[in-house]
Amino acid sequence: MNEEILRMEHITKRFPLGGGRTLTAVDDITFSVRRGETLGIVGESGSGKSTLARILTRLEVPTAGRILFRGEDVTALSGEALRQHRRSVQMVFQDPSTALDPKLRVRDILCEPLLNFGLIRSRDVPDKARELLRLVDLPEDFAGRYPHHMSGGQRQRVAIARALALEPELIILDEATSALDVSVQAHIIALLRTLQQEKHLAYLFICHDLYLADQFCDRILVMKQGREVETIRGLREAKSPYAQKLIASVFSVEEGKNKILPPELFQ
Amino acid sequence: MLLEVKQLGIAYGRRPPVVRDVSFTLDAGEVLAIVGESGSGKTTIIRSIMHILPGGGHIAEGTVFFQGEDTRAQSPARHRELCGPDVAMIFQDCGAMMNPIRSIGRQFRDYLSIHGVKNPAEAHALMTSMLAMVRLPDPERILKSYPFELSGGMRQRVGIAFAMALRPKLLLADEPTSALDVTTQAQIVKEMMDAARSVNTAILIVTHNLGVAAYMADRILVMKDGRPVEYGPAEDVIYRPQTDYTRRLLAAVPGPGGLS
Repeated sequence: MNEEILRMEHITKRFPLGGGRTLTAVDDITFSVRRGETLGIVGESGSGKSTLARILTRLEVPTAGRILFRGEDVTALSGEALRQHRRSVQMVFQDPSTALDPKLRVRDILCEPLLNFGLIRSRDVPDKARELLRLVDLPEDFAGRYPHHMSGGQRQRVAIARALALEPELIILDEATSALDVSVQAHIIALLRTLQQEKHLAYLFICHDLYLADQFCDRILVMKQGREVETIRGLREAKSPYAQKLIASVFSVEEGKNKILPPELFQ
Repeated sequence: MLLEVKQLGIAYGRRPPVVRDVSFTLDAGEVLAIVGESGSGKTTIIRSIMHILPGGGHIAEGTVFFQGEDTRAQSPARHRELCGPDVAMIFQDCGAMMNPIRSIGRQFRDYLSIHGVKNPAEAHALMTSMLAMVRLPDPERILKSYPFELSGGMRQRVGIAFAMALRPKLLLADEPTSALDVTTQAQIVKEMMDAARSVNTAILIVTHNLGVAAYMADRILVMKDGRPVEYGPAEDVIYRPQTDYTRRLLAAVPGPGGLS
């Protein structure tokens, strides 16, 4: 069994709504991720998936609970210690057209994190950019392009290369393939699998496509309104009525017109 | 025949057509799904039928006949007359198509009034019954709400209620459920189908979701790079695809069979 690199313990996040009311976006969530493992998080909008990702990257501070990264408590890190922690946890967002600076060329997008951490010098940028582009199967001459001169799939490859630049141990993929066509999605998933094997990466895969999560993830955490419903190793294991309702709501090519939708959706 | 599209080509300005050689027909009560990847021209086709192509877009080749009438020859006034009672459209984000500073009720009333439902009691009864039909709880409260007060799923339902209120003969739907959760998607797809069946409305739906297309459509048109790749009965296209492109597209969909 691989070493556990992340442990979220009883994480809760409440947001004030005004008038003394609060919204509990994440409610007592506990899970762990091992090196080389992919943990999926699925659930409807408002289930707290993205808040959880924001807590993990420490873009939000949890109201209660602890985040342990490689055994170290990072819940309350600040300043330089927090900056160093973020090297190990990188994120790929849903929409690569807004996640990349439109005024930077690909080489500068890819190497900015490395320059910020003083890991390379400016004169190393062209070589490093080419190396990162090779990792994600993009032609080396893309280094000179701007994001708007690339397709959505190519841009998402650049976003993945940027996430890899700092050699993180954990990458959060927040609906990272949702905006892509299915054929492009299949290529990106294959790339993520290869990279995971080569670099022993752990992924947190936030996704609303249940069947995609089923194919890609080792375990799936099902969330509803901030709470854990169940954690399963595959959709076939799903026992909760909630997970079963989600699965039964998906239109599949296999079922076509014979699809019978769950009656509780129409009560 | 309700809609007949023949050798349709669509161009922007003087540039060569971005969509070409598109032909299909649609009878009353039929459902046709146009599927394909981004950039394949599916939205462009539906927009050309609705006369809402952006910046300089126009029908450059072929014909579009709606109820035997050449749509290119229609005056703007004639087109406006048809929009609503004859042709209605549901957008991917219906909320973005609503006026943000007017209540749902006010917008709905104006829309009905323009198309001749001027009696306030009659309009009110129609609005509440339409909102109830798309399973929105408490229609009276919805009518008083502003678009920002509703969730994405609720706004899509309001959009369907608007579109179906005048029992159009043709419903154009552009990725109507793509931004929604699977549960909301399932509800809306079913509501759209039920609403259309009850008044024999034909549906032309553009979607990248092949599962939704397989569930809804009688016939499917597969587009790639502005050209039709395959067109036929849904069962044939889904279960006996004739082209490598359609086969690849189907194989890339994650499904219960674990395709990848």
